[in-house]
Amino acid sequence: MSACIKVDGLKKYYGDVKAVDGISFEVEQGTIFGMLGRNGAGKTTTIETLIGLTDRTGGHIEVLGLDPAQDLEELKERIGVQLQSPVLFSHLTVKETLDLFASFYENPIEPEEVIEMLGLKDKENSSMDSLSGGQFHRVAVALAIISNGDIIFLDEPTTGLDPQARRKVWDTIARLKEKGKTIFLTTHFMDEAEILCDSLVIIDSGKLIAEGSPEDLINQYFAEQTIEFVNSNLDQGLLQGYENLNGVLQLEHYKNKNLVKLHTDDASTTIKELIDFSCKTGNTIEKLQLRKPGLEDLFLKLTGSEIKDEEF
Amino acid sequence: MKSFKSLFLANVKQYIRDGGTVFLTLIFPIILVVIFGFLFNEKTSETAFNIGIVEADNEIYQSVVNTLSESFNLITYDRSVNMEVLENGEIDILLALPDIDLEEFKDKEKYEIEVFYDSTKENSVIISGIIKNFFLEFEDTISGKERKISLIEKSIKDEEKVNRFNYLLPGVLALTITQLGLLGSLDFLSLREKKIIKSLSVTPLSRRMLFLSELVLRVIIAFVQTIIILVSARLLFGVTTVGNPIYLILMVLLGALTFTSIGYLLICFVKSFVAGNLLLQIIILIMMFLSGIFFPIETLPAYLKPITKVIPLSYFGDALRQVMLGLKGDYGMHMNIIILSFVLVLSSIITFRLWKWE
Repeated sequence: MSACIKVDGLKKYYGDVKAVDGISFEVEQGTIFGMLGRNGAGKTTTIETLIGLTDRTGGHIEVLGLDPAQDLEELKERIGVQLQSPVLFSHLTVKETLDLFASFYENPIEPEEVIEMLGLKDKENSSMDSLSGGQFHRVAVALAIISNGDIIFLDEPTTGLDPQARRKVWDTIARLKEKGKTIFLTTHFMDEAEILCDSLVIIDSGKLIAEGSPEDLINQYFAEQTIEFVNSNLDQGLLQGYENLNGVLQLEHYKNKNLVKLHTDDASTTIKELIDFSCKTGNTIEKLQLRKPGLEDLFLKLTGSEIKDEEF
Repeated sequence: MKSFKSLFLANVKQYIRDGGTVFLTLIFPIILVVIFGFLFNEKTSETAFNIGIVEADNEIYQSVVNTLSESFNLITYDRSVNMEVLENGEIDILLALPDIDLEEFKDKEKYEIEVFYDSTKENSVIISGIIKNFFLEFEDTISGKERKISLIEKSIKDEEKVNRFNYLLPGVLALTITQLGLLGSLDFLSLREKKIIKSLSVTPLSRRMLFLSELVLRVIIAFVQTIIILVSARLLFGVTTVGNPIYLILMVLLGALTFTSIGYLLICFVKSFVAGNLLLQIIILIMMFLSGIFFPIETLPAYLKPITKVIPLSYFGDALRQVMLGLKGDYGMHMNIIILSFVLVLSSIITFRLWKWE
């Protein structure tokens, strides 16, 4: 696989404000690439420089072997873009809007197919100004997909969608990947990035602070995992026994729920010994789970703050 | 071409489905026609004069009666008629015709036709003069005399078709197309403000295509407005225009392009829709009053007259007047076309230099 997007030392300054400050990354062809960051971190600015909507202050960009600053016309033919809050002809219907955008591309996907993909069938004859925020957002995603471009840029594709519609968009993104498309998406939903993305970057204040696949990043920053279980016959001796299991770094005990949390750096050994220990002492444990830290935890660790929906 | 067609149709749908815009662009010309029609569509003096005749059934007067009845309302009375018919305005003049016998005509010294009129009434005085001449000719006819000098009336203008409203109608059309062209550029400001242009600019659609589809729609609306103005003026006020329709089409096209181009040039100097709207309304108002499309240039103070000559609407209105009415204008037709074309080219060049898509 080769990289279809190469960004090297990208800078975009607005006067004294450094919206993007020297970031570098590569996106492999046929993968789903995510860019995570808080509001104002520089995600949209980065996307806009990649699609040629904004000039860059410095650095090098190559998208499908083209420089957006120089080969924009050619590039536009080969990519599909969903802007964060697009404005469209308010009096056209959904179908008419999709037909219009399809006519801009040489080899578009049939509007009917895109309507089907995003579950917009019952809204195809509704005018754009009658759509709810979520429906409008899905049309915006549909307009990017209809291009049949090699790379689909999606800026916050599921913001404002209900859980069902989010799933629909996720399915659509997964289907696009199956078709060999590359998807570049920005998001502030950690679960979305974790489920969809093959690789991702986290940016903060215009700088890249982490890069890799979700698993690698979590493993890189979080060596430990957490084993949780409930035991209704807990006593001091048992707790001491659990704490002495191999791999256990720390024990947490929640008395009111009879819940025990074991933080371990060797989950498989600890679990095996926990089961052996339970059998030996004749103590039954319930609701056994192994928890891994998620991107949310990673983000918190890296930026020192949580992303909240209200920020968007 | 495919994207142009789709974008053009999208523009048409967007325009038609926006009831307010349709109302303003299509109903406004009708409102202008109605206002100007009611104010200025006075009939050109076809005032009917009523002539009373006594003793008209003599055969010799048959030709007189026939000729008079072509131009006047004739009412016949017998000799017992009372002068009250004159006083109460029933008739403007009363002719008491003597009984003439043709065989005795040459021998008889003279005949007297009594003409009764009310000297306090303007119509009576005018008509008595006309009637005097009329009977001199009548005498020549029955006595077989031939006059050496006769008057032949020739109008240098097609006057009967030109009244004040006819004269103003090209001005109404010129103003409508000027407004369409100038205010049409506001659509672009609105697109820019609403960021539709940004949303379209991530697609391969060229901005030239976006501009072109807007322009074509504007020219088509200009033609629809022209038809509406001409048809409503005809249906509501019976106004007809002469002149070659092809020249009219070409003139409307040139005007629509020129004023659209000026509109786009003007909005280069503003950032928001509100500011653009204000600027264009002021310019339209100035052009309307100082271009001479509604008010004769002669009535303007001397210091304002030079301004008329730098206002493109002056030349457009003048050209339309020449094309629609076949009248000689204030400027030569060639001059009008050259100036409008020059303005079109110049404003286009400057616009291309100053233009900002976003």
